[in-house]
Amino acid sequence: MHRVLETLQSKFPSTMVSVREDQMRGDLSVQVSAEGLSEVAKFLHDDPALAFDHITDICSADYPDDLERFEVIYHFLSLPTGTRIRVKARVPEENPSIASVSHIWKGANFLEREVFDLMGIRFEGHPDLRRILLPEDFDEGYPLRKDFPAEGKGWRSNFDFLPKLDEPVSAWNEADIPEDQRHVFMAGDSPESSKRTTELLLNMGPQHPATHGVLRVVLELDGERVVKATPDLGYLHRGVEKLAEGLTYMQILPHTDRLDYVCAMTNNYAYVRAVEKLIGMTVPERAEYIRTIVAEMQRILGHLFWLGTQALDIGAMTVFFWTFREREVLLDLFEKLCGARLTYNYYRIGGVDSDFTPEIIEGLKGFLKSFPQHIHEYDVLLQRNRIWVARTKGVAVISGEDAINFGLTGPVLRGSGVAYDVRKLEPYGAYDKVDWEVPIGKDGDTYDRYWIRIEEMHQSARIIQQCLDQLPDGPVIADNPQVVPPPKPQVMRDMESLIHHFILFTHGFKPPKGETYCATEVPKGELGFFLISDGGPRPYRMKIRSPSFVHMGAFDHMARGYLIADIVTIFGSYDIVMGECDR
Amino acid sequence: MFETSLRLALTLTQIGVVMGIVLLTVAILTLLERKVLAWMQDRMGPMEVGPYGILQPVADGLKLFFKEDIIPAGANKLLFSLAPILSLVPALIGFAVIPFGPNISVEFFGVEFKPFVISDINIGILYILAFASIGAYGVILAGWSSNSKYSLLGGLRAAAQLISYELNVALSIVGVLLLAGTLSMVKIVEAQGGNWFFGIIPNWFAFALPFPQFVAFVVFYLASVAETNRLPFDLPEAESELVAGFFTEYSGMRFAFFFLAEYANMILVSCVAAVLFFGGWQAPWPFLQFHGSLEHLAWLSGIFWFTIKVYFFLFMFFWIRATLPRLRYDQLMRFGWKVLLPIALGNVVVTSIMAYIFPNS
Amino acid sequence: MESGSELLLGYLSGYFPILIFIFLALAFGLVTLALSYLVQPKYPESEKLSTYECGSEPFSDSRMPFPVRYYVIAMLFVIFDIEIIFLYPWAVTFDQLGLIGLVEMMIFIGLFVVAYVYAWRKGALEWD
Repeated sequence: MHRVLETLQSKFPSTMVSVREDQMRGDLSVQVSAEGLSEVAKFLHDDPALAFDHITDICSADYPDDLERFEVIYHFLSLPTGTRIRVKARVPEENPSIASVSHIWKGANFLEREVFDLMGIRFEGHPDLRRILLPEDFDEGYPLRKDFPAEGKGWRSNFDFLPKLDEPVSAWNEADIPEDQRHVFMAGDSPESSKRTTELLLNMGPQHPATHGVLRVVLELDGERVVKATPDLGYLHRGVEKLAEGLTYMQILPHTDRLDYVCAMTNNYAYVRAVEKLIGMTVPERAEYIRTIVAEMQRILGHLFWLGTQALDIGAMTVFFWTFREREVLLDLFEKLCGARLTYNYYRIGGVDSDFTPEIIEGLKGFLKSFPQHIHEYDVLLQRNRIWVARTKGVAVISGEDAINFGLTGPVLRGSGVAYDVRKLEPYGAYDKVDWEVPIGKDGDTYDRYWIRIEEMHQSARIIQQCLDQLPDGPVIADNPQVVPPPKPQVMRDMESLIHHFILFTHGFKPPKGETYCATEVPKGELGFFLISDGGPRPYRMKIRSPSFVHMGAFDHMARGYLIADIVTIFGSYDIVMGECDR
Repeated sequence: MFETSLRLALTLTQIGVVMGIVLLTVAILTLLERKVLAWMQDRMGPMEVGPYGILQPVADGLKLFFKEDIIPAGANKLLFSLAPILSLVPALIGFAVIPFGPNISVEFFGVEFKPFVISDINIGILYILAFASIGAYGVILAGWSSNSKYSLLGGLRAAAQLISYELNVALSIVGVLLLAGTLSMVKIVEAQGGNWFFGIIPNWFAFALPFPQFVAFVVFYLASVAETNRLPFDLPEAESELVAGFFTEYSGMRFAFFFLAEYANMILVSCVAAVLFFGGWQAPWPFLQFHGSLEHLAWLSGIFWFTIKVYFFLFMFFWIRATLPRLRYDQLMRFGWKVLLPIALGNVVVTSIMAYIFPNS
Repeated sequence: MESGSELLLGYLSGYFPILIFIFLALAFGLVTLALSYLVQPKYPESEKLSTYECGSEPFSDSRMPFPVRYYVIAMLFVIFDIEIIFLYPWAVTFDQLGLIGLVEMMIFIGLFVVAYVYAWRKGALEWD
């Protein structure tokens, strides 16, 4: 048995309901009693030998037939030892409450709020337990519970804020408004305005040029200085996790495109990897290389987008257009590869859809040749620009300890000097077969995060170059008839294949019963998929651990004391995409 | 009587022509800015309206003209309506004292008038500074009267920024006044004729002895960029932070007025920079006065050189915008008060000492 | 006496075109606004007329006290601007004033610098 599990079992013999080491998938999981969770969590975090300092995710599952209906599932990661552990606790339906761990891991704050919002489990001792993705006045229940219909309860027509297209727009007439309300916004002697508050409440977003979509932040300002920043998420919440419960594993794939739409293929990659891990299938080597190349192209794409928008937010508009010039070259390559430029759907469970053509390889080599020169052009405009340095150095500093405690990942974590990269810790694809480095920052400020992303683009180019040189021959999709449909030309000719194809696409394949968490390094950070399979063709529960959502949890911590102008810098520095944040 | 009405008619014509040229230049500038930025950014710029998009300003103007003018509920209607005009008028009338060409007098039916300056008053610079300050009121009132927090923040930023950089503008000019000994724009240009150092360097105040005012020019130009709310000092309307700053709530023609005012101000400060530091209508070297021996065509060359200089400074506005990110508010104030102000003050001290040691050179 | 009034008249006549210019510029503004008012559509409704707050209801009045920092800047401006304006007549007549003018103004600028350094040391120029 694994060292961690042994320690836990000997330390908490009564609290542990069961411990389990999944040999096939390499997952550790323990089931604890709800009362003992707080104790176990504290031990996991504090014990120097275990040191589970990083909170990855908190989610929940609903088992309506069980005695204790809800399961709260925690994922922790120990950065010093590189171990992941899953801690599960059951709570009953009558009193779904469990102790909060937000005082141990600050990052748990938002994650617990999400569980409360979607599953209705209360966290005792949580500082601010409110709904987070759904509107605060949503009183129709908890959507992720199994008794909540996936298609909703049909009240879209009842929402009074949605315009009814067949009704004429009401005309404005000043006389219609009662006298006492007419000057409601005018300074007057109303009790509210006579109260001399020094803080200005400013509402930033969801309709704001710099909030990268529909993020809303309520800022309490003292002059231009931010006293408190409260993010309000969920304007783009689509319930992907709930939708996934009604779809077969293959049908979910296009939905993952819409998470981080800036670099959609990395989501596909994260998802297919999770499913492959769940099934326990292997992928041909050529497919692994192609996946790695495409993932790194997507990383460059994502970082270019980030660089452009961050520069635009700070006012350097030329960089924005230059990065889009390079993006265009890559997007053309993607169009040649899979026919789409935004939502690609190129990855398949078991491999990829089609092989590289020589044309794509040539185009990619051409891109790699000119790319360092283009990065140099951005450097000329930014890296040695005193205004840029003044705007990013020392802004939104977060220490390495805090960053880990908040569960940050990706460039935001590495900017604080923590060398955590999923590609190095748990190598997948062809990352362990090529030579590359993880750039690490020192100060944890915006400038370091900027430098890291620039450096990562260099590294990505390096990885692509080596992968292209080593690219082995062979099939691009696994030969696994259980999961992988037969090739299309065969389906058109051969009755057997047609039936096979039909069965696979109508019924779906059935992974073995089990659960797994699989993390993938996407440009934003660690994108994880947690899948629970009950042996059926659809996932029993799918949880998306999105880096943007977790990063927003640290927003208030990072924004306090800075100026309004820096708020925009922090948004940019996270590289948030709301499609992924709100899911 | 005849003389008075003729004089009035001539003045009206002059004003009409100047206003027409300024407004036309604004239209050209809006297109030029987008084209110049586009070329710097590897793209085409506006291409849809007319050949190569040259009719874009017309389309923009018409669109704004026919657009609904929204006054938000809760706004102070009077100030809200007044602010755009208060912003536009000072930007336009500053051109009254700018000499566009040589200081020549023309007799027209017995009335003598100067065709290239509307009024050569002897306090030309003070006049421009005074009206530039009034323009700031337009911006501040727009921000305050809109009753929107973004506008309010924009207005407050504008207030503090405009007054801080006005100091630098005022102080950087003192050196030129020391050398020229006059406040009249025409006389300042006339003082900058000729060349020195074996006829190589023009006697423009930016390069002239006893102490070249080039540093003062840099201070003046940077402060002017801030005065006109252009990048990297466009904080009152910083798009990514304050949406559109003080004119967030404006639409239609009132919005267009702020736009006009900003561009007219850009032209005005470019003109002032050309007049004060770069010899106005003077050609850099005598042989570049291309009218040759045709003395009565000297004004053509003068206007040509003046236009070249003004457009160069306007181009610099665009170039800076394409290159630099935006400053943060505290950095902006620090730059104005702690960097530009001491430099400008030091320039005054050094210039006055040099002018005392080497008089009339 | 007559020559004096003529001088004044000649002096003021320089400002007459400026006065006309102000009227013309005002007229341009007002006429354009009026013409635009005649041709523009007017469909006001309550949502459209509400203040922009990024798409949500404004939750507090925006006419509220704002920090004193702005006043400090404004006060400094008034003080320094007046001092700078004193430099203007001196600069224009610099040639005639000679050494005494130079020394006097150096003392004046010295006082200016003292005030400036004082403001700097007191932190009045810091935004924070």
